[in-house]
Amino acid sequence: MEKLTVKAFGIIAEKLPEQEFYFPQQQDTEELLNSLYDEYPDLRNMDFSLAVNQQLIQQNTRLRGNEEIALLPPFSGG
Amino acid sequence: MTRKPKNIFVEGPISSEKIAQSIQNHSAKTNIGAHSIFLGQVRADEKEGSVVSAIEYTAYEEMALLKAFEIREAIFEKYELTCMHIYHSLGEVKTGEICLFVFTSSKHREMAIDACEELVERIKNELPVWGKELLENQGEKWKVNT
Repeated sequence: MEKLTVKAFGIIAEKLPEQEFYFPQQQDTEELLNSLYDEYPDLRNMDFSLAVNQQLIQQNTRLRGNEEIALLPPFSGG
Repeated sequence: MTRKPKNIFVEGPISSEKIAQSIQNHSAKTNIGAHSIFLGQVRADEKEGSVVSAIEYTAYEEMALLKAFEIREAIFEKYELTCMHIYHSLGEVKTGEICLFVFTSSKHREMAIDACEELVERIKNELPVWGKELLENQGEKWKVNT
């Protein structure tokens, strides 16, 4: 069965029970966000971007199966 | 020859020996007339009634390396550079230690300086890297880039 791999980073990782976990496959990133918000209400108040297979996305993006999703709070390297 | 993503991450602080060695490694490339170097150092900011003692860096490494490669290609395209090196720390770096080392080399100073500056800005804005400030009172605070 298809599933998503979700990886959380920075402060987001601290708000979730696990840094990396499987999540049921979703149709697109909007559906995914809503499902994540239902599962982890803490995320609603947090500022983060999504990456699908290591590419930052700016708009709703169709998911085809088994993607790697990353939850990325604002970057603070350097 | 096509370039491939290179590792940019160094565990812990970047030593002054590494920086010196990196400069030394370029002495054979005699078409270089200018190096520009940026060094980021961990600052002892006052935070929440305490003082930063170190920053602990984490990254989404696979994505950061892809992004660093993309930035690298764009900078090589835009400026006439002989070479370019990027090193970023992961893990704990104490105040006063170096966490970012960016090195550009060119025939003339203008290209080296401009490329270095743009590279540093893009690294800070676009690489999925996070710093957590560790405070002297054992507190922690996620760093915010300004």
